[in-house]
Amino acid sequence: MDSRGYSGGSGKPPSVVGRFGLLLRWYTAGKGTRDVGVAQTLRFDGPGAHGSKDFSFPLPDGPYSFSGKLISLIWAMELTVSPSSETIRREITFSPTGREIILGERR
Amino acid sequence: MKARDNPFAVERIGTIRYRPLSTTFDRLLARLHELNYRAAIAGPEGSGKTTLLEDLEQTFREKGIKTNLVFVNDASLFDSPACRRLLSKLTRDQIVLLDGADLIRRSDWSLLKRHTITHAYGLLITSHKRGLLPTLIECSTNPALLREIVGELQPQGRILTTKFLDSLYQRHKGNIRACLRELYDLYSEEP
Repeated sequence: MDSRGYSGGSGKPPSVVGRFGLLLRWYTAGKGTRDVGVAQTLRFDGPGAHGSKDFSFPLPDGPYSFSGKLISLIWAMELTVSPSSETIRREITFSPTGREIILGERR
Repeated sequence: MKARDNPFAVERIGTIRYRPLSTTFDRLLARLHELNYRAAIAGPEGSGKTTLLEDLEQTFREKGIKTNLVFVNDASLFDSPACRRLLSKLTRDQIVLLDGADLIRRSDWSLLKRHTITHAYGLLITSHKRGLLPTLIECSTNPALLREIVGELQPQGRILTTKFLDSLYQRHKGNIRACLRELYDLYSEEP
């Protein structure tokens, strides 16, 4: 299983773009301390102000996206521009059914 | 309600930064400078000590001052070997920020306090009790502060009444963190 995508830029570009860093990561949200994990990283050097790049990530075995009352586990792809450190994030769902697993939900 | 949607989830509470009640941030920085960057942030639990320490760390970093932030709590103990490791790596351009100084062993505290006089840029701590270092600020809260914070976090259309929040504040004896945790639980039971 993998995740494929397209990373592109248009409009007003950052003044200087050294590289893009793309992270596939998960983090928890909710009542307790936040846990984070990085599954994959990709780096695009000298991408230019315009253009696009195809990419793919082999997905790990887990953990799956889930939510309960106390904790949610959220997957996201994060694109960071260096050296300005501007970041955008897109949440994704990672589960066998394609839907977030809801803890305590009756089937 | 899913944890990710809870308005009182930790990551949302984390966006609320310290609000000095009887001073300003600039005055705090001036006072810290007067104290030669060796001072304590005192106050009871849930009064904002850690939040202020984190905010000051951010300010130091923006000013180009190197920081070394250590959290001490039940889940993260700061034992003697950890203390010695910290001191062995310390450089004179670093300010040590120690959250929970009253939780470390007395002998470790004495060593840290003494060593940082000559081997660090400064030592800023949080503590429930006064007297470990000169007090920079005594953190405190009031019911209006809780109402203000809740007003920023709670979703539109659901208004928690002043009476409810004031009662919550009294029940938790002014501990804002505990109040926000109870509000998390309250919202988590909603569909």
